[in-house]
Amino acid sequence: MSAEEQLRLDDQLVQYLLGTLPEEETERLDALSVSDDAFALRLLATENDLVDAYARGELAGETRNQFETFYANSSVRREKLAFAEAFRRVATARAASAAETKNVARSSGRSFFSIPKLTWQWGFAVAAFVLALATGFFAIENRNLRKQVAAGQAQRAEQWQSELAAQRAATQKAQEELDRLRASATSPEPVSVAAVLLMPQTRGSSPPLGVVVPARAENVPLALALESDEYPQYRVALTDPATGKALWTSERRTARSGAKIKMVPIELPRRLLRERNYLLELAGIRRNGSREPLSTYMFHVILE
Amino acid sequence: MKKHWILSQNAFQQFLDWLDEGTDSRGQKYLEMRRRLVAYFDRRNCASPDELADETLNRVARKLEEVGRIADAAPPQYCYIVAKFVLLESFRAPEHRQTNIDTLSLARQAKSSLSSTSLEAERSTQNQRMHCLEECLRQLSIDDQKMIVDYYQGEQRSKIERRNQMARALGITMNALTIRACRLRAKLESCVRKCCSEL
Repeated sequence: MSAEEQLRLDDQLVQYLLGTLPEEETERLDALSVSDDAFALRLLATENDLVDAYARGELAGETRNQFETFYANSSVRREKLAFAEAFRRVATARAASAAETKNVARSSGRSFFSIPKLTWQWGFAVAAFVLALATGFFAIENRNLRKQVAAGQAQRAEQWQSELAAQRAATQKAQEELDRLRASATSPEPVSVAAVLLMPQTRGSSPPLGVVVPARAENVPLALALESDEYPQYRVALTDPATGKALWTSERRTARSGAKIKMVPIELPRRLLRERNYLLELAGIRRNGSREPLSTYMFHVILE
Repeated sequence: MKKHWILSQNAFQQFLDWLDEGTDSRGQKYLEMRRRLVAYFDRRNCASPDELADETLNRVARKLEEVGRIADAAPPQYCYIVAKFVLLESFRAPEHRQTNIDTLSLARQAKSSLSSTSLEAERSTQNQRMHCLEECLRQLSIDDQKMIVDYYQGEQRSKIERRNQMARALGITMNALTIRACRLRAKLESCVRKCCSEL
């Protein structure tokens, strides 16, 4: 079937669904709608698209009028319409969420997210290598020690035993570190889109979120979740919680929509950050320029 | 024919086998035929399309049990022939005449009722429906979720091109893609209906 014929058939199916075909033609299509597999499928696909088009407000003029007076005149078909409306909203929300994730990932820069993973992998490899060396070393030393003990060098053996105990403790520590690295390597990324999304501080809130800052990153992207978006613009100040000193202030920012929340995106210059806690203070800016303190966000910097 | 006929398990199985025409669709052919019949009666503005579809299928199953085999027509064609009789009978039934008057009246008011009362009532349950839809979507595989959202996303013009791209990317024909999308949508519609009725 050519593209033109397909379009003509689609148009005819829409007319059939809207009840505007002559009776004779309607009966012919009635028969096909039950007895012909290919036709039944095409009719269903056309009906889904027609209902979606109405839900999106794409129908106009006589088609829209006929849809409302004929097609929607049935509880079965109204249910399809309600489903289409719900589907449109859910699909739109999902598409927006996917685009948001993509944008945040893009604006965050590839290196910021890829370096920690690589670093953990290298860390894991180095730790494994050290552990293997240590294990081999201790095995050899242990064997030597046994020979010396057997040879009656009690005093020296005691010394070796003591050192061995210390080294065993070090091995144990290395093992624990290895386990920790292994767990980190298999668990979700420590720094992800969700990890750089900071939530406002509340009383009795949990310890500050750790943000890993790679050595090569110039800026650290963060997104401050809003409790409500009531201001046209926002400004964010970075302060040292120990001294209360302001270290940096952002340009004026507007809120962006995430999947379910609004947020204010910022990028902190890495050169300002040391390995400690920081406080971000969010202020809303009214149309007349006056500021209103809104929320604070605590985080802990981990430098790589 | 027996007057008070009840569909037995054997008769139902025989009917399913007949609809399958030598294949084993695991009841899918039956469900699809029922869907087509409900849509047919619904387009003909019958008051109870579900009941008429069931009546049609019962009559065919009964005939099949009584005569052993139906060789006059292929199963879908035979079902349509019986459905036509059921439709004509329903037109003659007293309750249909009343329904017709109601339908005419409803048709005149449909536009206004759509934009006011019925739509408002729908909106009040829309959140519920969206919640159910999210739940039902989550029951699908990640690939299927992405596929159905992508397939039905966008406006008419961009939609056609995107669907072509999807079919190419999946290495299937447009027809196969349409079948997959329609099945997924039907599955979702059914899941949402069930979920809403349970809330």
